[in-house]
Amino acid sequence: MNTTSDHSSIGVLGIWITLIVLAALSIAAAYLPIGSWTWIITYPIAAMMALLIMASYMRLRSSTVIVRIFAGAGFFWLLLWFAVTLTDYLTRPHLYLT
Amino acid sequence: MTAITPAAQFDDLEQEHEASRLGMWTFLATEVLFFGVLFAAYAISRLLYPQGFIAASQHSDLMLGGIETAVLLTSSATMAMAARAIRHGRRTQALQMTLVTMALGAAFIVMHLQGYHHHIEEGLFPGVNFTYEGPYRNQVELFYFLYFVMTAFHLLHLIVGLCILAVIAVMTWREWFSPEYYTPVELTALYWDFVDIVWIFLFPSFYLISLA
Repeated sequence: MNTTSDHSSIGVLGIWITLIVLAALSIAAAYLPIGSWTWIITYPIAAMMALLIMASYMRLRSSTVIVRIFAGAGFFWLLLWFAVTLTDYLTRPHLYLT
Repeated sequence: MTAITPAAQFDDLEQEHEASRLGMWTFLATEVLFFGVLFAAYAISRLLYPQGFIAASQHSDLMLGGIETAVLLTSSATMAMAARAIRHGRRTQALQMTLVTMALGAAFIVMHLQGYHHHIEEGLFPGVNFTYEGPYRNQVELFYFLYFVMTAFHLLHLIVGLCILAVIAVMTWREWFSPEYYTPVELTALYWDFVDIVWIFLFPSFYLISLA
């Protein structure tokens, strides 16, 4: 079967180092004095790490278009789900826990 | 090793392999939605109760969470190496890397159970043993409810992954796989990487809310 698009062992190691550095950056961002708003930095870093893993270790970069579409569909649906759910919750009065 | 032939509906092993990958990604899309509903509940709660979530996260063990993250990221790399080795016909290396991945997965499970033990001893187990007396008590309880539910589902997926890896290790040892046929290894690697991705989002959700 096709192994020509395979990443090298050095490639695997390089991606691992990048992932560890990104995780460290995420921890550093949590020390910023912006309260709960750290998510503005930590989640985009998490998304970058996820994309890196999907493109390389999960071999989406070298996959057929149909596989890429199926891989993206779940995340696209999740995006719609979050958008619609949060629109509802953020625009209605709600019960506040103490 | 017996010669591997494609199932009747496929022209060749390549086509069967691609169909299997497509099927696995379809399954992973359902998993995205399964964890998605939990993350949606988390997002709503955190947006509504930021102060309570900051107070609750002060009890998270950052050192433990950081080590767990590094261990899982490393296990994804070793699993990628195992899949690569089998694609290139290096059976011994593939077996070694699969066993290393299993060891890292087991280490993660032990560390995480240690974290649970610590929180339960602190009286932070919602409903059954929740003795937190600080401000935002109910919000902190909600945080720990989400923490236990979401990480327990992740842990369950990891345990399932570990069982599948054990089967893959035995199959590799018995020479089931070759550069022509390695689909089960590849699909297991996809599942393992997905479980890692879920943790990548759980880590900032429960350990990195605010450390300032």
